Amino acid sequence: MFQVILKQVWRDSRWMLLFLAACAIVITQGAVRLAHPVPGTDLYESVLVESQFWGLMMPVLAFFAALLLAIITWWPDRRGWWVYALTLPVERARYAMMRATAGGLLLGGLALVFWIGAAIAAGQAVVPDGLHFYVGGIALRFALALLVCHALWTMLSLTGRPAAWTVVAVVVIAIGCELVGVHAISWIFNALTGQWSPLHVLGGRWMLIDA
Amino acid sequence: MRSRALLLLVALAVPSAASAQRIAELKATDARLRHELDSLRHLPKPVAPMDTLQLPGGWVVATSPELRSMVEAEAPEALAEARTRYGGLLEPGSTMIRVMYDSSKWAMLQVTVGGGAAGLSREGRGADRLRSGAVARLIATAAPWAAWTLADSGLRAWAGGDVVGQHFDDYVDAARVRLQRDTGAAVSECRNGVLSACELALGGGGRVPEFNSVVRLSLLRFALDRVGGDAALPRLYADPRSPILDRLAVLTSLPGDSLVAQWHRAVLHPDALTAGSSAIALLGALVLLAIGMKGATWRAV
Repeated sequence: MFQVILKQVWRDSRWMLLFLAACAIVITQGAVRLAHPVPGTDLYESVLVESQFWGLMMPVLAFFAALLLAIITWWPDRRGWWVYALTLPVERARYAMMRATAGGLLLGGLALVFWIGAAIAAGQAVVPDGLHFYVGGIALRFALALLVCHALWTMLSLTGRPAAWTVVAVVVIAIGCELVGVHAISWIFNALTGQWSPLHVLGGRWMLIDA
Repeated sequence: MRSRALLLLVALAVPSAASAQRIAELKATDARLRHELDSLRHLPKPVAPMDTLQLPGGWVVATSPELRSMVEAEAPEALAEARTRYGGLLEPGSTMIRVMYDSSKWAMLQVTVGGGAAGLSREGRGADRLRSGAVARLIATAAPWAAWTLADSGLRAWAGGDVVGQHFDDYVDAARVRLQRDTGAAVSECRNGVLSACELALGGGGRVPEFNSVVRLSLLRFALDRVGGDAALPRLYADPRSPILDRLAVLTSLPGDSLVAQWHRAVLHPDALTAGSSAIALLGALVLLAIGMKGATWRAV
């Protein structure tokens, strides 16, 4: 049954995954765009700035890749009001776990493409003395970001309206607090991206090339 | 008769010459003032009248009544930070901080310690426009820092750059670059992780620093912002005649090499993925998935 679900999710998401894989390759290539030897010039700062600029897109890619895959994964069931899922002779939680795992596997493939893309980019580039490539670190970080975002979107998809209303309520309360002078939005943002939050992995500098 | 006339002429000529000199001076002053006035016309309109905001420890912040009320209302944490970190740092009355503030665009801050003065201005437009909270933070962090810097010539000489109003995060990128690019025997060894060489390159042991000013400032701000905690600045100021690295060690309550080791790691790998953050991410993902599975309460309708 898992294979059937995996095939179905793959069939629905393959073109989007192909596009996301292309994005991953472009981003990793962009990060080393200036890392080529140019006689007589010193591109030290430029290499780091370019790496940092393209690094900004890596967590964004992870976030939207997980979002799009969550939409594709759960949309058929939501569209059919879960009737098909409920007619299957398996527990709901088990069925949900199989679907989430299928989505996670496909995102794992995207992480693999990202890792290969980063390795190819690092293989082609030459950096000034003192700079290094961090292929494994950046790939691991991307994989973790995909996992966290996938878990987040899966949770929101499965819990449905209660989660949606909770998010809406938090947003409305935060805006209300801002109107009365309590800076709730920055507090929530800091809590969500702080070092004790799983979303912390999305923050900071994503540097394929660094000192 | 002739001699009397001569005396009269001399008596008239001396004051006339003095008057002419005085007139020339007045004209020069007038011209200078006119020039200053002309240059002032190009500045944004200053806020008046001024009011004072008295902080414990002798801090007097001269500011507009409007800004004072906004600062007190909107950024109490910034003022609390000022009281905690800088209270009692300087002698009462020795420091005057003047803030001029336009609600939408700019804030100018002038600090005077004894005969010296330092200015600091921030400007923002559109969505980045300064708010009263930002000005309050400017008062709370930059102003005492500027005042203290003026008073501490040893630190200014060591830092070799503008130490006002910046945070460690503002220096990380530039310091990382300089850490790789600066030249010198100790610098090379420091790059390879030899911490004693880092201390020498930073000016330890009475040597001339090999590292660029940005690198030195990054160490200073690291000690103040990341390690020092509350009341860090007074601890740094406790013995202004000591070598800087010793003062930083006192500030952080860490051995010098331990501080340098932490700083080295923070500058070279500011956002490295640690085992702790990876574990939190994994655990968080599992919790989110568990909540999702538990919450899968969909029904057919």
